[in-house]
Amino acid sequence: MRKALIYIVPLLLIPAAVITGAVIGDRSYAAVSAIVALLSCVPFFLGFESKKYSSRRLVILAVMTALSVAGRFIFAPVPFFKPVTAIVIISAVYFGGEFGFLTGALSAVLSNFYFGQGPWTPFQMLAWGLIGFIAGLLADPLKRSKLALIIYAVLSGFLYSAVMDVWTTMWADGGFNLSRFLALTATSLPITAVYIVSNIIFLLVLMKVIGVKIERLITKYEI
Amino acid sequence: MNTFRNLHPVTLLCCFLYITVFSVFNFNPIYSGLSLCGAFLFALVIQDKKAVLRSFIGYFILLILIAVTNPLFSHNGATALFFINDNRITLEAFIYGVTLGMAVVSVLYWFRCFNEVFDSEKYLYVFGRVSPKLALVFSMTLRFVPELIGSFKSVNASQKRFDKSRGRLRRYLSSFSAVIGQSLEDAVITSDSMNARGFNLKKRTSFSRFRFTFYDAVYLTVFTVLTAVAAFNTASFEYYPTFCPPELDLRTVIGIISFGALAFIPFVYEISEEIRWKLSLSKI
Amino acid sequence: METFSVKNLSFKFNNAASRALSDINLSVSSGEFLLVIGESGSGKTTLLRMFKNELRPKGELSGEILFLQKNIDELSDNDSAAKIGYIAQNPDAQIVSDRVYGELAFGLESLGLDNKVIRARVSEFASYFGLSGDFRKKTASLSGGQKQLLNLAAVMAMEPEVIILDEPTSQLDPISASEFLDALRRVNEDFGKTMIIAEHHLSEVFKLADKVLCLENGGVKACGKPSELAAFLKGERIEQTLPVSARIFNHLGLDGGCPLSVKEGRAMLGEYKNNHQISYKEIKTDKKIIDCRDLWFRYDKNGSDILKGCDLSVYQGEFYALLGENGCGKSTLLNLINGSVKQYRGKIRRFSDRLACLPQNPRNLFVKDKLGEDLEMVNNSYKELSDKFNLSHLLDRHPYDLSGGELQRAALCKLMLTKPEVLLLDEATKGLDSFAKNELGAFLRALTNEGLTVLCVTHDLDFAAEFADRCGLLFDGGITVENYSNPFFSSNAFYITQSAKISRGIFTNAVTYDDIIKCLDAGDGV
Repeated sequence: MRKALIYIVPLLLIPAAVITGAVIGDRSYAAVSAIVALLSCVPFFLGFESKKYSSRRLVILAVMTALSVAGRFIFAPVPFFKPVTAIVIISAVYFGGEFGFLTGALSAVLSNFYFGQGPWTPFQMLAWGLIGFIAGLLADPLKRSKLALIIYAVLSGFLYSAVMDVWTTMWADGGFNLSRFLALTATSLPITAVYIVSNIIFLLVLMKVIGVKIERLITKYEI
Repeated sequence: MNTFRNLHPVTLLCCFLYITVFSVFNFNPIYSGLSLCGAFLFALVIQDKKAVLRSFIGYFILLILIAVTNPLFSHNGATALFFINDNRITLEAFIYGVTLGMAVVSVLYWFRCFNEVFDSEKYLYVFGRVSPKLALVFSMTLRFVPELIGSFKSVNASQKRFDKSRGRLRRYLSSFSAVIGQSLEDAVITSDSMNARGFNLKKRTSFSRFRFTFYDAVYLTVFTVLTAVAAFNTASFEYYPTFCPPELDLRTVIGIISFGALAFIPFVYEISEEIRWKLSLSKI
Repeated sequence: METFSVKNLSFKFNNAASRALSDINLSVSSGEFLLVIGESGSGKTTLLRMFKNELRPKGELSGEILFLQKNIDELSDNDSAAKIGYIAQNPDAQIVSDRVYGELAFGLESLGLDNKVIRARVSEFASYFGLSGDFRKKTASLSGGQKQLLNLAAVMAMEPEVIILDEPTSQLDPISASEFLDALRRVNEDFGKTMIIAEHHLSEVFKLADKVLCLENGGVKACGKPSELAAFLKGERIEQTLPVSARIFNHLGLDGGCPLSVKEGRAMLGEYKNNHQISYKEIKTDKKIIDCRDLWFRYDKNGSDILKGCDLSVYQGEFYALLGENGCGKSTLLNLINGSVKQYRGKIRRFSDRLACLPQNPRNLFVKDKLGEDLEMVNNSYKELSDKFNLSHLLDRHPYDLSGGELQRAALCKLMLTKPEVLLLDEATKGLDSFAKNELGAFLRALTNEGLTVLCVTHDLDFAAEFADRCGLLFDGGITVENYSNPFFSSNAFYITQSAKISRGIFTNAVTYDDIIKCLDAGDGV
């Protein structure tokens, strides 16, 4: 049941909710969408209580989340270089989609704990969560091919900025407004581009490095 | 001193949730204004005053930006002010924009206060109710973040010596990967220590030092009642096609007073506690 | 009643050629304080982990372990978690929560206890271990010693029958270590908890033990009362880790009870008093390599000063040990000299810019997956130096898989590849056993003989007495005492080595075991 929810909610329900909202254009839609975004994370968090999450996996989840949060501080001197997306993807590739979703969603909550929680938090949770979840589904090609990795880095860059632009539009208009969305997307294009380049660099460098380290752990400690 | 932040996490969370959700759902210049004032005053007493005042400029610009751009994207409304490229710029859209701007800025201010009041222990409490394991991950992550930054600094300082030729980004990346390796290695020790203390044996409980007191019950009731009263007596406010303020009948007034009370409780609470503290000192 | 009874226990790791433990027979009675000793790789950790189902490594096991007369495999998971407490070496990585009270509650939460019970237990044990003031603090703000106490308190809160400790003090400074051991002694005496502790620094813990088990190559070499065992180990390699009194006793070939404490040691040594003078090397050069004058430093604008007009001169080719309590500013001074932070008043003159710094955690020097790659990164022709540091057989290993001593050698090698003239070391002996420490000291001495200058920040008085030319004590933001090692340790009252405590007033300037033996041997001739 939970398994089904995990697939249905983020992949069908949320796009459906976004489209309905866009069509109706109700002004309370901003709040509703935030709640929908938050709720969509619930099935993933419910999975936590099952015994499947051994202590090793749980600590590694905390480590990966902490790495992406700490990364925001560490790479602060290099503008727009944030390893969050890359770490979420890597964590999904090695530990599965659900794990990736959790890494992404938790990274959003935790990093906003330091940088300030806001109405954008649920959207960030959802955006990074989805990036992780889909990466988990595509684990094999992402592991094998550098090209696939680069394509996915580009797509996830667009996905992230699209979700955040939807958020901005809804808050600036009280509902979804296509012309404002397009205007925003156009203006944020340079930042999205830099963001995508940083994703690619991080992924190309870290994928192999972390991969070696994780495989080392798996053989040494049988995780 | 017993301040607003010392209320139980659930009481606090409900207070913030009620106010922000209400502010967003009810687009009404009166509600938005009350919410904004309450949030601003509360921020002023719990945060550094200078920083709050300085931040106001930024938020004010944001408010104006939303108010001015709304008519550019929304051409509803009967009263045309002027035309830009055949697009009608209407008074109604502008008023709508101002209201929206106030609502957005008030929510941002409430979040500012929330970030100040809701510390990691309170998050932990709330997560602990949803899922104790989630709370655990949260707590571990909070522990790891400063540690990782610390070891990054140490690794990076040593790396500076070894490869002067390489660029900063490359050095950062290689130090960062070393930190990843270390932290994954230490994760094994941490998880051993968890297993040694019975992790995953049973359904976890989540300990917290918070106690739900009588005062929490009172305040939670007050918050809930005020919100409910306000929600059942909302003033409808139409912007399009023509701007039409609500009639000021009894129901509307009650709704407005209830929401106003809700929005100002945090500020009043904080101030009255301060006065009480000073009075208690003077009695000694 | 026996807490543990071990019969013919053997263990072989998966994929290992030989057995890690062989034919171990042992009985630990309730309330007993058992000390497990042995060189690195003798099987101490493996044995301890056999007692804890959750941590038992994978492999072939034969023989049986009885816990409270029941086979340990039949122990319920709940009992294994609650009744058998386990504390490991690393004080940091063992901590799970970000808050002190969260950590204390961790085990109780796992057992599914409710808030009320947890609150009562947690507050009791926090006050018993003197952690009430830190109850709401972040765990990261605690010192290493406090962290290890917290780990102990967190285990105690689960009310175990037995506490197993794997080298719990190896990462602590001597003062925190003896505080921790004192807490163990109290727990043992006040609650009658059985203790099983593995250690390699024995000077303090040896006299606390009721029974000592000595392991060698995975087998029991000896087991018995501390004083009997100390006498039995005469002439063995492991003997040099024993308390100094016991070593002197063995050297003198005396009969009767072997002394373990300083008090007993002084009583024994008193009759051998003579006038032999220990000579020491004085620095012949006056060529300064680092010269600090009137340094003032603080981390925060509004913080208090860490250094208050500190002066320090280090001469070329000497081995200078900088001593001082935790948080007295030793590492800060090192960072200032290293240039990673800057003083707000005063001057540092460096007569060489070829400084290399070995951080407290040598692991931080390594970024690759193989030791060889890490060395190659600095210099392609690393072979000669890696041979010198006895690393050739380790080049294909992952740096994190090296033992403490090997890692320290590797770190030294990597730093030496940058051809430094001054080597700064921060707590270089942390976590090393006596053998690795002596090896490190010998390497450093050899390097200073080749002209390298070594400035070492350390808590380890024995190490400083043994290897440093000069020592300085940093206190209240400045160097308050500074002298050649021998007069330094023989003139101080508290801040001295155990050997100096024993020989004080009996021999002149004898601050290490070797010094005492020299004096004794000189006395024989008279």
